[in-house]
Amino acid sequence: MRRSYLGEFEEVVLLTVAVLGEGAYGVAITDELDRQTGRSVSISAVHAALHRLEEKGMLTSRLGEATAERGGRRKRLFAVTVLGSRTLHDIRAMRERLWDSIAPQSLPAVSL
Amino acid sequence: MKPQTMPPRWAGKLLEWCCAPHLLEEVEGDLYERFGRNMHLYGEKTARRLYAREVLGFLRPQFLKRKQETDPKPFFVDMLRNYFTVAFRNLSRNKSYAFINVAGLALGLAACIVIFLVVRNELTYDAFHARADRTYRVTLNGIDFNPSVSFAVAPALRNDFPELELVSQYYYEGESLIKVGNERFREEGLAWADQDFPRVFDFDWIEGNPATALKEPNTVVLTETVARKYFGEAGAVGRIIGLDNRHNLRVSGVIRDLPSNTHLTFRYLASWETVRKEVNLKNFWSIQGGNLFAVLPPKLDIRRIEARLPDFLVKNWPDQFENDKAKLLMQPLREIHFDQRYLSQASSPRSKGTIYGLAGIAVFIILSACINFVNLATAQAVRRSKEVGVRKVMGAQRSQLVGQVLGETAILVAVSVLLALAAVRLFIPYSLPLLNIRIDPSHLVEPAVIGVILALVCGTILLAGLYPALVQSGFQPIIALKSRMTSPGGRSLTLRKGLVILQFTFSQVLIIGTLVVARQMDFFRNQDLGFDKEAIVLFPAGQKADILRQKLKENPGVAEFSFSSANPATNSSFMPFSAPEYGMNENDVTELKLVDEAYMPMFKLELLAGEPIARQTSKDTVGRVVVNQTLIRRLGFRNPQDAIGKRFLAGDQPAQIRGVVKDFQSESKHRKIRACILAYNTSWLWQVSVKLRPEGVPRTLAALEREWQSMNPDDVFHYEFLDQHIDRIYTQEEKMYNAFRLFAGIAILIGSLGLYGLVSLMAVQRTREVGIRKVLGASVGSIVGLFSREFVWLMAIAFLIAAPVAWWAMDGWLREFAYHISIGPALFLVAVLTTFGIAALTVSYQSIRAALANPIKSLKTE
Repeated sequence: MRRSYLGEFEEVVLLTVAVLGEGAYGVAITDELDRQTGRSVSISAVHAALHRLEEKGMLTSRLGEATAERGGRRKRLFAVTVLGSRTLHDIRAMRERLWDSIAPQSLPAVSL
Repeated sequence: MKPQTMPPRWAGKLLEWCCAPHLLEEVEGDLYERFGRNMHLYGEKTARRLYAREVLGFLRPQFLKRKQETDPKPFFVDMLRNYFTVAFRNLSRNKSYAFINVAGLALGLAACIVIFLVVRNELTYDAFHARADRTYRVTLNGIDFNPSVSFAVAPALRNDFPELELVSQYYYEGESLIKVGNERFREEGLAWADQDFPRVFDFDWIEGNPATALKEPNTVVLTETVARKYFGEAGAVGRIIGLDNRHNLRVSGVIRDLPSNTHLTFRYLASWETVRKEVNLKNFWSIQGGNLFAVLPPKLDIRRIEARLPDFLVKNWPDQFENDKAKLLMQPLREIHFDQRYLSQASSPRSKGTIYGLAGIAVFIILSACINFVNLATAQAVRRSKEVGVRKVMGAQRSQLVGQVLGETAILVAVSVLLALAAVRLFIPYSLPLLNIRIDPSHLVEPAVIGVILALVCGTILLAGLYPALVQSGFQPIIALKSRMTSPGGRSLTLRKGLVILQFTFSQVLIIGTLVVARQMDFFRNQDLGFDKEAIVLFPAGQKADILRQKLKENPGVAEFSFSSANPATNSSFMPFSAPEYGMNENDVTELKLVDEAYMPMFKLELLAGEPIARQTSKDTVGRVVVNQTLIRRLGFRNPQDAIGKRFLAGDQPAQIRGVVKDFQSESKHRKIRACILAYNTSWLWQVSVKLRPEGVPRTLAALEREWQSMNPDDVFHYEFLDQHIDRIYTQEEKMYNAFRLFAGIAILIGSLGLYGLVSLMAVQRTREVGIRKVLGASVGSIVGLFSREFVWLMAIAFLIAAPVAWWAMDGWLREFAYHISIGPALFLVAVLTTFGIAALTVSYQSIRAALANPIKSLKTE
């Protein structure tokens, strides 16, 4: 496979960073994940995924300003890179191709 | 935000401790933010619990792993380059100190390496044989300690102690006459040995089979030098050499020359089988005897053999052991080199004290060189305070500064050790003639030696560099940069004084030691021996003694001559004596010299009472003899007159004292003078002593040689002067004196170098002070005094330490001699004056120069 493999959780974190745009940092991402997926995730898991993604080149980061509610500590703000963006698009395109290939009756009906 | 409520402290600490520093800030921030929200939502207790749980979540390798230095090289290389630059700048700016340090260290290291090689050589005597630790020499302890036992012992020992792994007979004969082709030579170093000998001692065999080389009669094994001398590069094996006009021996093997660390001294080894049948194998007290070696099987306790030896003697020689206290001893092979009790053997034993003394000198020398280094470095440290200050301000850590100074020391030591090794290599050829010690250049590259040299180098670096490094790195940057530091606090000044005292102490101990050795050597040479040794030449009588006598009478160059069994300075045979009449029932040992009537007048032996030796008819065999003072004292007579006409037993023959002669020195001064009997005899006088007239000595010698050679066509004429013979007895002391002088000289030189450096540094540092003093009217003398006064004090203190130490050490050395000088106050006076003289010379040059400098110049600068 040409592009690097992304785990499911990594993919979700990457998407969340994209959703949050300018304000994507550890706590915000954790909260957004909580809200969007309904899963309660630990900050350490999010941090681990963020750093892994950064090592893979899907994210860049910079240190933001310090705030009082953080005890005067700076936050690390993340942004999706071109590689990250392309990877997300690839995944999406693959999914859509797969959806398009599914015959109408082959999936059992599910009521939303 | 409530500042009172905080996340659990332990969790915070844990996070700080575990989380990689470059990630810590964002993690702590996120956790703190979440903690604030949880406080708000769930209250303090839950928030703290959740916080702790989150912290534990971060304990995974990903966060534990520290960020790697992306590229540590540039910093490292730059800094290193800077260190080198600064080091070389410093050295080239202070060339004279660098020279003093390098010269001192190189000299010191060279001396240490030589001494180490010497000491190692001494302590590894006979250690290279595979069975060395199980090998013993069987010796005889009767009245005296005798290294050889009768040839009768070996067969009996083999028979009665079958458990012994090897029993080997060895007999060192000494000089013999060798005939190769039609040419005859006198060759030193003949020994006889049986076939087991090459299995007891592991030699380096070039040709021949060690197991069989000495098995057959009429075979001989040569050392490489001897083989080459007679047979050149062509193989020696299979060739024939004639021995003493009696045997024709076939060369059955060639071994490398014996290494320097063995007590054996043979140069060619003839098979024992050749002569076995000719020797007396019955009598335990036979004078025919040699060294007997026994190898124990592994794990057998030597005491189990020793315990059975008394019974062994009685069983084998029942008629010869009744009231005798003689016993056999098992002397470990490794001890032979150090056992001073046995003196009459081919190689003289070395005292362990001498070896440790040399090692001590090595320690003195290297410490002295290190002290120079420490003193000069700490005295100079002030100059470098600015550099240290800047480095510290720029963020240098103390360990880096220590490393820098140690590194600079290491550079100097490395240069020194290279110079030292070159010096050692140059010195090696002189070690044998100067110190009587064979050092092989190949010793230098042995792993053990390299290891010791490396250890020496590392030790020197630490010893010399650590203290200056700690002083220099300890400067406070603000003080170092702000003001000109004038002197490094009082503490290091006293330390420097202490070190100088130590150095003076070393020098003085060595000077006193050298003086004592020199005096003792003078005492050897010049003290009255009790006989005349001038212009007397010794040679064997040969076969036609009567014709020789006649020729000697006719020779105009011969003043006097005497035929005897031994000259006064050689003891050739011993016998027991007792005197039951005077209550002396137990045997003591006496020397026996068989002489003619010319002996006493020629050697000018002083007769104290009675009559001298005169012609006697051969009927009364021992008859009336002349004895020395020691013998009559042993019999209980104080006054020589009282002893005249008294009888005693010499061996089992009655003897009557006809004259008493003053004691004379017949052995090394290591030993007390023994009892001695001079007896008239005509048949055993194999040595001729000839007193030459001073004029035309070479012509007389040439004539003697011609005549002697014509009487003994099968032999080679060889002679020795008596005074040379006596000097040879003291060769070892002479060489030890050389060693002492050499190494003491080096130690003193190193000490002086350091003193010179220190004074010149002082002179530079006190330039302005001297200038001001001069302007205010100080004289040159008072300024020189200013520099010298301090050192005079230090020297005086050093003398108080050195005197007792030196006295104690040298007294121990002198005790090894039966006759020795006493250490008097004059000796200490000379020593102290010598040190003062050397120090004055060293100090004066620099201090006079400082004192003579124009004060205008010194005050104008800066």
